[in-house]
Amino acid sequence: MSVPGGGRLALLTTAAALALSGCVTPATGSDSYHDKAVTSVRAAQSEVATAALTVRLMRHGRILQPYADETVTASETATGAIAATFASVQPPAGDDRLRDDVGSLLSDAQDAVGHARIAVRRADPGALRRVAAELASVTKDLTRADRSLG
Amino acid sequence: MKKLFAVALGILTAIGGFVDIGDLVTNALVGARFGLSLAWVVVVGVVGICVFAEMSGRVAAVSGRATFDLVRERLGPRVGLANLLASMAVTLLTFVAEIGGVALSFELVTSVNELLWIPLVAAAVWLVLWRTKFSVIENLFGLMGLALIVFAVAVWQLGPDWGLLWHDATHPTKPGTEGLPTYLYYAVALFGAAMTPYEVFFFSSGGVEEGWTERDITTMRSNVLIGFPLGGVLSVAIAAASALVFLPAGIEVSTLAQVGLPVAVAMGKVGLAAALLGFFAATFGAACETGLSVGYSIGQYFGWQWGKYVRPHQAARFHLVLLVSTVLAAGVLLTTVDPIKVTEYSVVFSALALPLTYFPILVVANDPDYMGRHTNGRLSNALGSAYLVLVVVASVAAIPLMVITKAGM
Amino acid sequence: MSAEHTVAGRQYDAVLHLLDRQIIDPDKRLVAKVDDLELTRREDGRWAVSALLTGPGALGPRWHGRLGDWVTAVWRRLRPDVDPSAGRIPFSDVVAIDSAVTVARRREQLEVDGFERWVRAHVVDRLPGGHHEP
Repeated sequence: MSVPGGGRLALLTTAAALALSGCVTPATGSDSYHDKAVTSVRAAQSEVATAALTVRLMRHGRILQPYADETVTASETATGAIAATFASVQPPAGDDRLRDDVGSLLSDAQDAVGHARIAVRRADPGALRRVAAELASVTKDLTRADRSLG
Repeated sequence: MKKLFAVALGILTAIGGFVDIGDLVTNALVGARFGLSLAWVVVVGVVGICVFAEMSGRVAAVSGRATFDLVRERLGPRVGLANLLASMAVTLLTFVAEIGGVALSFELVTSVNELLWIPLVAAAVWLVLWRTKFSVIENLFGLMGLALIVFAVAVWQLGPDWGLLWHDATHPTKPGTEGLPTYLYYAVALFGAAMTPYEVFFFSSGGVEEGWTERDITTMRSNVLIGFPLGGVLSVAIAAASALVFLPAGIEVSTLAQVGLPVAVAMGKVGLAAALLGFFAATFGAACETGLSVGYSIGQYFGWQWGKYVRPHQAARFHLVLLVSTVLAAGVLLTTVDPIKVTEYSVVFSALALPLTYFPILVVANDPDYMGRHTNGRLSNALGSAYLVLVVVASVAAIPLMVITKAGM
Repeated sequence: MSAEHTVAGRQYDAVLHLLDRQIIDPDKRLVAKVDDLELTRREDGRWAVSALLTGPGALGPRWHGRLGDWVTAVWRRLRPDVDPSAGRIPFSDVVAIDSAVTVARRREQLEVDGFERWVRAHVVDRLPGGHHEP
């Protein structure tokens, strides 16, 4: 309406833009690259754990199939996004090893959750049992990585 | 007997209608990250909304006018316009989130993508607002929303250490892994989710829709003072169920699907089906309420005939606003924006808009011109003023916290 | 601005009790808001409220600033008359002033709802079910 009102709106928009942009700021120093690695590992942990929970519920007949499908598909998409985002960040010199290690871990997570999605959609008990073990193994690796990085 | 039935219906509808997509998502998200250490915010928020809903309900019952209707009279057309634009913006954002929530609920049942549901859901919401009686909308979705009681049952079934839960809830300290700004950011978000601005304006307009008079004040009070707190209990139950299942597993909530998983853990398929019914009722009901609220605010600011208590033919501009809002909301959702992300922002912006929406209610409820002998008593004014300070603090803190915590990351 | 108008022994303040108030008709249906007041100078030099004004033509100027000017300009463009006047209800039509302002004539007879009639004709009446019971 009047200039102060417009100014406030501009401030708000800028603040919102800053808040959103913070989520995809490329890493600069080694510390922030480490932080990015930790964040990615933890985010992947959340998705893998969700998939593991869904598989467990499916195996015990405690979840509706479409619901399980939706949950695990969403986790698969999210895990893929986490892996892709982490891979796209330029590592600082000396952190190439970290990138490879975390990258391969995230790739394992992506595979496991993908297998979970396939097993859930097929509603195959054998596949569900195998994928449960795969997810448990990936979870252990992710937890170890989280502890050693964090 | 009939009066008792009406009172009971009112209370049950208030409980079932309390939770919307903002409460569902925010409570589940907070429970998974913070356990019950933010439960006190829900309590504070529920008391706040009770205080102001009672005031705005009383305004409708005594003056026959809705609260927002009177805002322009008391604050003038310019401040009234600022108020209108701010509340409309937040309410429209919430409307978008609710319609998205309905579409997500359908996706969970059918595996058909949410985007394909958007046009259907928007059309259904508009159709209900066009044709269905106001009381039917309120009662149907309110009672259906009681399905969310399944979350309280789930908490019970999960067999938690009640002593530990109580200790967590009554000793609000931020978890070691989270920073203080993040804790405060989610406190503001939860506060905004509990004290949704549209709720009190809707409650007041609903009172006019249903033709409340002074004799209805007691019934209105029982709805508010019994119904809303019990609805708040459901909110805390969602957070508790989430905490019990997700906190040990390290799961962070970012989808509606995850919100229902604790119920599946505790109660299997039957519980999950009830949760899905609850999701649908909560989101569809709230979509109707927010849609109507946009129409109410515009109509009441400009003095148009508004409401579903007259034929659409008699309130053409009001129904035009409903139609345009629905089309607009569908348009926003069809840009493939994530409804959960929209929800997360809508609750924080709700907190931002709270002072503008709550201050006028306090002013109007104290005005003997409209209220006669029913102006605020000392308790209402004391609580009202205290909450006004609180909402200003939350509002001022909202944007800085959002920037510092990068929207809670 | 504070003009006073005496009705049956009670004093009213035009700003407090008239401006921005809801106007209702004898059937208690909503007509419009008092967006502005028309004041006329009487023979004794005092100002009296001669009419209630409604609509964008009346409200636009009260918004002041650029928004008000813009709204008023758009409104003038949309009106067929060269020098349009705002929706007007003579003050003699007012029968009661309490939490709303009640006028004597029914809503349809007041002719202040051009926009409503336009929307009714072009949108609402074109959709099925616009006349159903509430």
